[in-house]
Amino acid sequence: MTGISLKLLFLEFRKMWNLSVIITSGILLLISLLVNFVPYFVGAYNLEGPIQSLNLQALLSQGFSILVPLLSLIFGAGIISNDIKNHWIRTVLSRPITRADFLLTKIISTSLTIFILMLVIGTIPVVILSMIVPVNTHFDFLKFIGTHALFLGEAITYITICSLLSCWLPGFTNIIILIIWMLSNSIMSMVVNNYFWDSSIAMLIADFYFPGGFQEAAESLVSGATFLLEKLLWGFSAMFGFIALALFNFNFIQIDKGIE
Amino acid sequence: MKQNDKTYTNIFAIAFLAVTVFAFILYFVPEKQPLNWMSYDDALIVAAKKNKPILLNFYSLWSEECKEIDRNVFSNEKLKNQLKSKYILARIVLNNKLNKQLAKDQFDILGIPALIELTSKGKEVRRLKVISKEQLNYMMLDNTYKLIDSWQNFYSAKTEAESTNKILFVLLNTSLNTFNYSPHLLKDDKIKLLIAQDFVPTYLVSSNNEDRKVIKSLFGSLESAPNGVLILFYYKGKELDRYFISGELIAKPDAAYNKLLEVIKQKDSK
Repeated sequence: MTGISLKLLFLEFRKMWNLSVIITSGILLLISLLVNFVPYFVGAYNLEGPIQSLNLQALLSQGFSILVPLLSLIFGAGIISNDIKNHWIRTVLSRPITRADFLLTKIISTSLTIFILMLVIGTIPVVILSMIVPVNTHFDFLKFIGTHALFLGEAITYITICSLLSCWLPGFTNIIILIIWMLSNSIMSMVVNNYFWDSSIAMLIADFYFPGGFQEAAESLVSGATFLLEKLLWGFSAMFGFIALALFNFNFIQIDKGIE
Repeated sequence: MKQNDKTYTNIFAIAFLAVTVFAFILYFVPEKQPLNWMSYDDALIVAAKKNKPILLNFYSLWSEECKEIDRNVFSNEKLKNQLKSKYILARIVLNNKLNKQLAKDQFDILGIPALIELTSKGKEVRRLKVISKEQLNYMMLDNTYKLIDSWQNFYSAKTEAESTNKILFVLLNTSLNTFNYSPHLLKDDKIKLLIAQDFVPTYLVSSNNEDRKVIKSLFGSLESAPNGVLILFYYKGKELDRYFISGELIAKPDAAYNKLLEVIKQKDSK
């Protein structure tokens, strides 16, 4: 254990920002601006109109629930396999840096990038919108911070799963596997709720099949309902579990062999 | 320095185990119930004695949604008191085969949590698709159950209709999971008055055991009975007409009233 090197963190962070990432982020920002501001320009935010109040936290949570999985897939896919391919891992690990440090740095730098993009694409348009709309705005500082923290937790979990998968499989398969996993989760919960709702085991499996604890905790936080502590813990459990698994797994990969 | 240092792995593995154990404990420890619910069988007896409607809840200890309803809806103090004073509260916990069968076969439940309003005689009036404070408040203001309770059972209604030469008005509900507009219809004062004057009303619902027998005797089997919420008009033992109660009532509030007048004309012409 040598501790995480700030220099490596900076390098990894800078490596994230290439042209394709900037273009993708630009497109996502454009979509976000359209989704948020078109209702404002057509006059939907009106005291006698269809949207009579704006709940900043709820709007953010809705946006993040789409944005965060999307960003995690874009940035997380192939984070290790690409580095093996271009021999970056071999370069780094020839220095006095342990494998665990490298992987954690990788996860932190990717999460940081996603967090910055969450702020730029998700938060800033919504905050500006809340300042200019002529209706009442609900703003709760703690819930606002909490929503960000919980979705950051979700992003870290997804990135860790990607780093685990990309040790053995190339980038695009990471995306396919995660998308299938996400879709199968919603299909399964639909099937269980409609056909196996009387089976306790099926219900338990559907609840814990996919690590969506952070998102569900965020939804309960912004909806004004009771905060679901067990969902938050389940989110943390998945995050820690996958990080431990990814670190353990990372010791076994061969750094000088490409993944095809 | 070892390149394969396992310190971080161990730290995260221990954190994972600790959090998971704690999460599972929280998940499995039963929570304090905000309301006292009795069993369905007891509720039927108490409701008949006190002449109060029953609010029947289907619940599972394993369902997150059921727990959320308990925390967010039933724990509201004002609502709690209102529910307690109006209803006999009954809960069917789906932890054994018998209860699961009751939920599936008799009540035709499609998912939990489910909430059903029954009259004091155990006849289903309506079921809530979404359990929210607004829906419950709306239900609390509605007294359709009183009207239905004041109606006779099928056989005595039939005898009375034949002896008084009136039309037998059978409100039949066989489609339990579609939206039921009959409370909407029965709220109308004009319709209530007309029913009281010219008809002998009775109510049959397929989730009630005795009513099921009547429906079977009328149509041969439950499957061959007309599917939906409808009114059957019988005169002198023969079916005169039928009227399906649908969302049409919202757009044309007089549709049902006109139908009743039409049926009376049919009877007079005979």
